[in-house]
Amino acid sequence: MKTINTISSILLLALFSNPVLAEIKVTTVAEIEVTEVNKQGEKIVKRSKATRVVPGTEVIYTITAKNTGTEPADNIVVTNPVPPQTVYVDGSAFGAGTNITFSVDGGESYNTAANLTVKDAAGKPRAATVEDYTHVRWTLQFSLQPGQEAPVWYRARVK
Amino acid sequence: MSCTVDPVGDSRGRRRDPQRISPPGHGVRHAVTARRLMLAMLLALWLPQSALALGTSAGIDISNTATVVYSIAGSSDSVNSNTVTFRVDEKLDVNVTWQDATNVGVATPDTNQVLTFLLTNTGNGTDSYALSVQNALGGDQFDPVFVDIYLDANGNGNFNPGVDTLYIPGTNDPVLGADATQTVFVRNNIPAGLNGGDLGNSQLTATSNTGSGAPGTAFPNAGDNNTTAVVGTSGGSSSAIGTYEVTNTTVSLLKSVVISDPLGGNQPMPGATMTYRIDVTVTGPGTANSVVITDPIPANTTYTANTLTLNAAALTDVVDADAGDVGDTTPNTVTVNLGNLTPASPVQTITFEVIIN
Repeated sequence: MKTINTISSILLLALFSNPVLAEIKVTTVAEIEVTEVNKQGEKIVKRSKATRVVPGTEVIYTITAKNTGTEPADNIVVTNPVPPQTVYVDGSAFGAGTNITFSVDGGESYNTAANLTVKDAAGKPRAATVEDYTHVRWTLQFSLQPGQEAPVWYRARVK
Repeated sequence: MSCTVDPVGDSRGRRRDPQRISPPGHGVRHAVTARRLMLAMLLALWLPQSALALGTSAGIDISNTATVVYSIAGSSDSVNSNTVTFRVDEKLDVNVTWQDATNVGVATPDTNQVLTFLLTNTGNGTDSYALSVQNALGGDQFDPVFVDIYLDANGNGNFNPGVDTLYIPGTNDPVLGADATQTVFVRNNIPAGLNGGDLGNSQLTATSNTGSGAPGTAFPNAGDNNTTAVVGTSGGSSSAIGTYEVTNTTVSLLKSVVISDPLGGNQPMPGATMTYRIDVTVTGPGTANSVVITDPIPANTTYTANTLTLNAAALTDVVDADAGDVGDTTPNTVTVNLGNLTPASPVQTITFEVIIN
């Protein structure tokens, strides 16, 4: 009896003294779309890893956050800098159940597309265009349950 | 070609403006209005950036890392994704445009007439181009005869023989970096026996030496920095057509008069002598063939016999071996045959006297 009690208290101690093993794992994939004609003569659009890229190519960045832990994760915010040699493709950002905002000041602040302004050469504010975007941000409006994945994506065109 | 000269309108014998006789529709120009210029500028501003700016250089790596912040049970943390990287390959693209503002006016026959083209590397890497000319094209009235191609060596956009470089295929194919340009001159001869207004087309083609063909065709390791070279939407080749136009020669007549009255003055009164002078010149390329000047003796005047001269030499009033007559070919009319004239011919001066009745 005493041994069992000791063992169970050790186990209990072990449970409460270990850190919470909740993890988010993030993977990013860059792809391009390739149009192929199948045997029936139909055009099929396939995605493949971005390798053959030239100015003008549209690259699709897909970022997937996965909860690999045992606890739900909240307040998840995914941020991706738009590579400087590319331009964000207007309206291409998507993420189910997320609020999407952009930064035009190198990631200092974020706002919805309609509210973004930059200063022109004379210092006057003007509405920001996609050429001004430096970052894309997705703020998940839901908790990511253990084992759940949330992919978000956008397109960038190589200058 | 025979020209009729209107008599001086009034008896005061005022100097007339030069009379040009040229065919209609010669050398039409289009003025670019200010509004059209503004529209073009606005359009240029709104074009997507990839159409205008220097493309990312071949060999540049584009990397991306995403970051995620989150909280679990009230405790915040952040994590980075993997970094994805891909390399920008070289895109093979070229553009050739014809630069002359209007059709190039030529004579028939003519030699070494220049058409000006602009070659642009619209890709993102350094490339060299093979140039060729094709003149056997449809849609025109004659085929120019190919002479040679010159590369603008001093970049002034004008053909300067002795300064610009003769193009020899395969030995000095122009090498251009991304977005760089090269002015190219094509010289052709023009055949004889053509008519005024005839058009002749000459086509210049530039083809990338790295590769050409269907857009998307890839040439591994052929691009800058050992990248793959990929054929762009131009197919790695571009052509433009320049046009020659046989323009008519123009004969110009300048008529003037000197009046000498019996009282020693210059008033146009009865009895006053009026000495008419017609200066004939030719402009424009080519030859004005068989030029004949005719001029009716003005009303209310009488021709003074044997006063007809051509280039200070007296001509008889009757039709004979000399160049002119008065009243013989046509009653009461001065007729002078000037033969074939070119812009190089000296001014032909005809004079004759009349007396006011």
